[in-house]
Amino acid sequence: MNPVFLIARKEAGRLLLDQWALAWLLAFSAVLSGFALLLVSNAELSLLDNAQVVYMMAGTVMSAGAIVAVILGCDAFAGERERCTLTPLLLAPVSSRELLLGKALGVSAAWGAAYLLAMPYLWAVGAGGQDLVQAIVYLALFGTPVVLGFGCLAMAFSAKTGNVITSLVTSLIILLLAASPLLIGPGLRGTVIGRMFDALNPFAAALNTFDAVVIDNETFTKQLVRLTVTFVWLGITFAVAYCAARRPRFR
Amino acid sequence: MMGDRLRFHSVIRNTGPKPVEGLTTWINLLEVDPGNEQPMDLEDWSAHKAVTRAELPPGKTLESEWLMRLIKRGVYRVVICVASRNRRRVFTSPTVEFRVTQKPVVQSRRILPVAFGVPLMIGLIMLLRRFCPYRVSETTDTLLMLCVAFFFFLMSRRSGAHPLGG
Repeated sequence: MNPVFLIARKEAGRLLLDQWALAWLLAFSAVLSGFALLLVSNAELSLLDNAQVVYMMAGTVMSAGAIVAVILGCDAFAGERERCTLTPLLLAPVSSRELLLGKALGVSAAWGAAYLLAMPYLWAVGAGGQDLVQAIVYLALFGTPVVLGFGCLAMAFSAKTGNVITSLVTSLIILLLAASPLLIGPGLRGTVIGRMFDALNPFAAALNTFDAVVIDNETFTKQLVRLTVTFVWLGITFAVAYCAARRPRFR
Repeated sequence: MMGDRLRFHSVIRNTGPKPVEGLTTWINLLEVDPGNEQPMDLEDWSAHKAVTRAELPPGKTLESEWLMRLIKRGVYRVVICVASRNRRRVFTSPTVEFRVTQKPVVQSRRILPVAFGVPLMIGLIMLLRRFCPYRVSETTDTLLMLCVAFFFFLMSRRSGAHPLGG
């Protein structure tokens, strides 16, 4: 079997097939369930509120997916080093590119599982409203490069520092900064700096797209710049991770 | 009903002898429910809020289409307004009244099974893995997931909502 798929299968197996591995999915579903249950208490929502709920659910799924990707990315090299398994892995007939791709595919599998798990929730809160299909499609299209980009960034830190805690804290702080549009409304981001930050921030690009598509019904062509931002983000972080993974810290 | 779209058609004709310069046409929405009369912010109702024209020659017309998505229940009136650069007076069209009926957008019978069912399903799979041999649990995982998928399908049929649409 191709070493990339072998590593990816091992990584995905750790997350999905191990006896207690599903605990993270249970926690993930508990978060989405809590959010969905909060909505039940509001008996009468307008269509706009409903679209807002779908938008918030999509944002929550992407944020949680990014956190999972960051944690897995931090474990990719530094975790192997701390478990004393990195040196044997580097001595195996596997190139650094294959190792990185295998780890990245493992992160993708986790994101895929989280995305699939979010489907019933998106349906439950959004089926009576507007453009649920668009929310699902755009979450895949924009959420995937953002989440995998954070996974790659965490892998880069993990390979360079060789320390899980350091890379985890660093990556989470960067994720917190990027995810600030979830907490800070568009009004407070209306300054020049806020607009520049929004234009460069892949997380904001994805969130603004969910807003534009789900709430404002904008077309796909208007989202192309934002889509480019998210894929440039993925490309840059993958390149950084690739450079870092060529000479990981293993001592 | 909420979620539907309405299309309004407006025709503005210059019946005067002179051209009208700097013409601006815009749409207004007013809620007229008793006790809740207020002008509405069109931001989420319509992406097409105004039409401008540099000049409208005598006898010529300006036809516009106004597409509106119905967001919230209530009784509303739509009016089209026209203003020009050289005249201070604003002209308004006759109002059109319409009623938006409520559509249940968040249903507890859809949310509750999902909110409790999904964590329960994952918990059951974890328990099965704890107490069953690997190969048996692999089969039961699949069977359980198929049962849950079938359950969601039945729920979607009962709630009358298409699994992927409104």
